[in-house]
Amino acid sequence: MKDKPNPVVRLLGSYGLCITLLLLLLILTFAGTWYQVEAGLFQAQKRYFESWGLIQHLGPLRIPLPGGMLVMGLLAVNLLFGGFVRIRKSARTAGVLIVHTGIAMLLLAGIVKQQMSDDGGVMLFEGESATHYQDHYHWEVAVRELEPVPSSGMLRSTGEWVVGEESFRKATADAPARLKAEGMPFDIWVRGYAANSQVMPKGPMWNSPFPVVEGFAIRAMEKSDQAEANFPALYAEITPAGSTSEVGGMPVLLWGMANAPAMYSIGGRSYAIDVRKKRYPMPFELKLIKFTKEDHPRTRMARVFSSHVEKITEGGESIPVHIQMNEPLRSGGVTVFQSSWGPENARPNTPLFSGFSVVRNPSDKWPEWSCWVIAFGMTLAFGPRLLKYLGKESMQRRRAAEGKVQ
Amino acid sequence: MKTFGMNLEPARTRLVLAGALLALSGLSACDSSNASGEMRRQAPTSVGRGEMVPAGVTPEMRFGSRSMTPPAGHDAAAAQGSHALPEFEYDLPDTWKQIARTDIRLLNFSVQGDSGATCYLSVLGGSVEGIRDNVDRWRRQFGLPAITDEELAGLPTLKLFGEVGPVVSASGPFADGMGGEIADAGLRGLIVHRGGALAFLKLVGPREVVGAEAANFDRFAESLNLPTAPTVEPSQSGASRLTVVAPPEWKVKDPGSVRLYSYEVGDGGDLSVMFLPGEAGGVPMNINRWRGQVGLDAAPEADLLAGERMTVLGEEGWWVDLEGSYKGMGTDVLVDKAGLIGVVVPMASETLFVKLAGPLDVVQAEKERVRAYIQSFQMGGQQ
Repeated sequence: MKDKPNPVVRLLGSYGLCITLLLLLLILTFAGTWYQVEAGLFQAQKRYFESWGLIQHLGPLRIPLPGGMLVMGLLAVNLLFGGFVRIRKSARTAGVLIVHTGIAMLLLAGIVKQQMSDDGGVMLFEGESATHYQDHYHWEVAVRELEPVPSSGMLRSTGEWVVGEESFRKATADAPARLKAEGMPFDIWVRGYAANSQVMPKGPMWNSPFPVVEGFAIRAMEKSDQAEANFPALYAEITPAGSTSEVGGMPVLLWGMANAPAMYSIGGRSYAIDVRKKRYPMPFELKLIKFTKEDHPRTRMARVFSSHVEKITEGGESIPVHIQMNEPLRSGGVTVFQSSWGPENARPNTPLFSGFSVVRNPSDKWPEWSCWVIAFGMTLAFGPRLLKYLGKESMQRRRAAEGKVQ
Repeated sequence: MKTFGMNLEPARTRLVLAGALLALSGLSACDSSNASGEMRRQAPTSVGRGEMVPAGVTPEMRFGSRSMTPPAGHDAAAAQGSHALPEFEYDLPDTWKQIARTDIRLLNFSVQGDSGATCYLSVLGGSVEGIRDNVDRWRRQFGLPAITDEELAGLPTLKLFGEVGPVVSASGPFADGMGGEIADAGLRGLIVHRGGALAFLKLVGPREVVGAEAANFDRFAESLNLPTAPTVEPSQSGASRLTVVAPPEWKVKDPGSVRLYSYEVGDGGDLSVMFLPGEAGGVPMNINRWRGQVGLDAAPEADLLAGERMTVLGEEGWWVDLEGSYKGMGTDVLVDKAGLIGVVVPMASETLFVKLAGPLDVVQAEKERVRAYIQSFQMGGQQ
């Protein structure tokens, strides 16, 4: 005699749970889309789809909802138990099993994207090129080691050290964050952080929570719901490598909107220190050759815009590519979309820059493959029944016709 | 409860359950952040710009106004209109330090380090009568009444750009009306009229600092000169060179200190012409300001810039045509059913504003005459 199924397993593999989870996903998608109108894509994603739970405001009501992570995680478990483990495995259920495999691939693609993808953008004027793209929301501190460019009055980077914002965003005067690296001849003590700020000449009309540096100070501003509208600023002190936090260092202000980095010299070398949007490498160099924009008649509202670029490979090969709306460049695991242009208020004959969105997603094509798998599975599951039905219908029609003749 | 199908052995069940829970917990674990301050070494990166650093970066260069500028080689100044500011000459007191300019502040200084005192120079189009209006405006910031004729005549004077103007002093609680407040403040300011413009030099901050810096302020004002700045010299600004042809039905009004021309149009319409230096906040911000004056919400920048254009004095301007309840710069509705038409024209070093606001029927009736009036504009020397 077979064991009775474990009630937990029965619950986890039940149709009821499946329908409930799908309904919750529907609600989350609706509420998240609505929320995005006000709060932007980043916040909506975090709140509804990358969370374990949330409180939904509906007029005076406060409704607790499971987050997208919980719902999709449970859906994966439900699919595992109900769709793979407990299902009868036979030739008749082969199609359904393949459909479930396709759905599992979709869920897996979501997990891979959530955990392993990054996206950002890059803006180029004609003739400029980029090896990296910048995150829309996350920040990092970068220290560039500089050397002079002969006869130009300019300095260029020979290498850099970087660290993400998670290492310094909670820094305070009492609990500073120490940023250091092997080979870097100084440490950076971050003693203050404002997630959204302005750095401006310190006047009598306002106060700063941080010290004034060379007449400038950080004006902390309310954090915007639109994550991309926040520009952080740091108050930091620089000390020779290995110093303790009690040693007073050179004070600097770093700001995400600054036109130029803070400079520090030690041991005959110069270093540039920035807080900047987090950068990700591209598997090729992207060079803008020509940007084209056509406007609607008698306006400056763009009707169509596109970019002729060169994809320069590591081997130095230049491959011309035309990027336009819905025709991105896909190469080496990244996808480069044409997304914007500017400056928006440019006068006639002003050079324009081309804006690209760049996405690195190892599971970029998985949803498409999943759809093919699901389509194949459904054909296998329902195709024979359709053929059987059509055959039966055909037979009935033939019999009816024969009856009439007789 | 209906399930997908067949039963499962308990041992296998536990294994699958444990795997599923592990996968779920893995999802949350992946979200934890790295608290380490260890920096990672990598090769130089490039996102297209800003990778080269000029030697000798100053705080003003780092934190001054910013725009997305084309790379070297593009003639950006020619393409975007030159907003180059003059190279002023002056003797800077030891206790003052130059800080970043703004659209309004052509020169900007912090005084005595972080004392909270600032001194700045600004220039606006206006007539000599505007001196009194602005003296009163400064006095209002200290809660003082309008100045009397006797008091005005008795004010000490100083020279600025070769012109003599009154020196205004005040002290007490200061509020600039824009959120800036100092409990015990001092003011030393100077206003002069030159050409079609007013120049303002204003030192404001804690009372004891302003008092201690009064002599430095006076020496600085006397030393300030504009030897190499013909493009923004007040007498050369659009304000002094603009000629217009107005319909005879419009009644010319006193333009006051800021306007260049002012008219009463029809029954209750008010038309103004004025120049402000630089971009004056930009076209979208000013159109949205006007929208706010008739009770309309701000519109997206792209929509505003896609609006109707009008060529004025050879430059491209943005034509505005709005309806609503006119509030002007206050909060009370002044005209319930109102219209506002006008144009904003960014020029080489200043911005031209022409605006007619008033009852809707008046504004609509005058629309074509306003357009013709604007098209009559000529700069001195222009044929």
